Amino acid sequence: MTTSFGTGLHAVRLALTGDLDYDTCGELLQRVRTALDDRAGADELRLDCAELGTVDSMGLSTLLQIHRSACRDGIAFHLDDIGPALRRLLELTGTYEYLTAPRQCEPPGTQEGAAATGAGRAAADRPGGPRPAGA
Amino acid sequence: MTSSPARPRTGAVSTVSVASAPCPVVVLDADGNIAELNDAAGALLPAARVGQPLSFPAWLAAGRTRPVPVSGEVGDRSFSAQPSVLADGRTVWWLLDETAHRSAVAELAAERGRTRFLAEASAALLASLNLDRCMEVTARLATEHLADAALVISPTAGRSLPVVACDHRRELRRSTVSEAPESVPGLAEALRGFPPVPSRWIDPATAPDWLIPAGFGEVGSLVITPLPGLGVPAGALVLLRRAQQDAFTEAEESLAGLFAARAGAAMSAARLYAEQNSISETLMRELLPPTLRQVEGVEFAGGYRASRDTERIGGDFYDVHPPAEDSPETLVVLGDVAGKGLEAAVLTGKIRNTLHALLPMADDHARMLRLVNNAMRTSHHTRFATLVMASVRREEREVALRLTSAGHPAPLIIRRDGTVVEADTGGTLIGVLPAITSRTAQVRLAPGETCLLFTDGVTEARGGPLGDTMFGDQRLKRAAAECAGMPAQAVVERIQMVTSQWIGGGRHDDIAVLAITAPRGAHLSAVDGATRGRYTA
Repeated sequence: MTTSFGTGLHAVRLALTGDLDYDTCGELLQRVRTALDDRAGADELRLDCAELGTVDSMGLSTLLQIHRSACRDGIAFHLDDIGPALRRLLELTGTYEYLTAPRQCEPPGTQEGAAATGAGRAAADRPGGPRPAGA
Repeated sequence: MTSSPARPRTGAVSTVSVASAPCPVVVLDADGNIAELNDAAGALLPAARVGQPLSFPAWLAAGRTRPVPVSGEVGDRSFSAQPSVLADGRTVWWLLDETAHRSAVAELAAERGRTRFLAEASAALLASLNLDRCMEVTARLATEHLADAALVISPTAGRSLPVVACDHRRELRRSTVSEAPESVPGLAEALRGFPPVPSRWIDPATAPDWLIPAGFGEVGSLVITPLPGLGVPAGALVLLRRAQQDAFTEAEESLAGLFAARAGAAMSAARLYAEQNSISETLMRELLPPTLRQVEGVEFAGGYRASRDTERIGGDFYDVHPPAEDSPETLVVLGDVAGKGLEAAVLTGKIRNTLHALLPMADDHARMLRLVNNAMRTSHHTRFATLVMASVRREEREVALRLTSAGHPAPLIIRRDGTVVEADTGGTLIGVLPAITSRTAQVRLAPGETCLLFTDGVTEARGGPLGDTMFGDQRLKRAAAECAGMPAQAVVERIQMVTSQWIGGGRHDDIAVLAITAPRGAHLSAVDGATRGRYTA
């Protein structure tokens, strides 16, 4: 697992290389955090998956974690160049829409969803927070 | 003095040097009679008389015929006797006091013995992380090196004391003594880790009977030393000596203290390890898949192959819940929790319990999954589970299934003719997303047909001729096709065998497979064949 950086004015871009699994996911999480801390004003995080190898369940868990943290901080999350294997994993697990929808930080249908306030986001991310009655 | 033994060669000077020598000197003639002795020798050997044979000390009298150095004791002092043979046949014996030197040598040897003992003790104690074994080793070593008998007593929250005793015959005995530690002076304090009570303060006569091994005889002295553990007391060591033995010296008691420190650390480590192990074991026992059997005329068989990498154990699970009052169908759940080890084990337990509690909701899989998702979501991690649920109901000779996948590989349906299809179900993984969706498939199994549930440990198993190829969906489907018409147990064993061969000796994650099969059943028709008959279940 290696990452390389490219940053635009307000965007942080990391190119992921190698497998994202149980052994490497902690490292990716750390690198993303460091990269975002270094660019305090960033409002966009792009993970380039073109060179990404196998992603296992912990790898997917890590992508979900990064997505969740980015949303909480008001940073747009993008997965670029999703390969067939990753796409298949995301579709199988029902996370493709969630991870690739632009700026989808709130559950659709949540009352505060349209407002996209910080409070609304935080509430939506809590287990006890508001949630759609059905999906 | 160094030059004295050389001087006698000059003859007459010798008399002067014998008298003025700073050490006892005895001159013996060729017959062994005393020819001369100086004042120091006279004081040391008051019985020696000039002109008489030397009879004391015996070790010198015995050595007088050969002029080689000898040594021995006179009273409480140690001497070495160095001979110088004079030209006239007489022998001058120079007696050099070596008491201090000897005692230093003896002390050094004893110190080396103690160090060796402590090193051996450490090695023996650290060889095992088993608490019982540690207590036994402690009792045995203490008996071999420190006392006639030894007892190791564990601290306990209960009313009885676990005791390991090694008696004077080196026989180990473990027991529990239902006595308060206060019944032995100093024991309660030692079990709480207070400094040891010097042995001279303990009256051996006050020792209760349980402390003394059978046939030991009268106790002469008794030492109670705490076994200091890692932060908490690990127990107490009781050393017993018989009446005819010397009492414990201060040096011996301090050695016992050093030994106790090592034994205590080892016992404490063993206890911590045992506690940790029992936690893991408890968790693992909870995680062990249930034994499956036929329920309501449907065959169920499950196979679980835990990863051999202990740190990779923990993700997969399956459960079969037979019909109950609130749930008329059998509910099968097979799933996989992201991650490994303790955290995964905890999450697995949580999701299984939640599913169990929600059994009455099993008529609506989507609703049940939403409730589970809500219960599993937490703000401090994004660990998730994928699972597949199957509600199973026997309908005449067929089995009706409702199958719902929550982010999990879809079950395979193995038809009688060897056709293998994926059940048309899909959905969102559980535990992370605020809203989830799912699509339930309705499937009917004719007799001999099987629905195969599996975790990605099967399809992602790496092996094959190159050792690093994934087993994959296609190979699994081919293997499944070969199972057409087989009973559930045979299907599971076949899939397990094929994946095991694929993996070879390589690493793999947990692998779980579960088969739901409509039994082919023998037709128990009435003899005339006209009635409808029954089918065995």
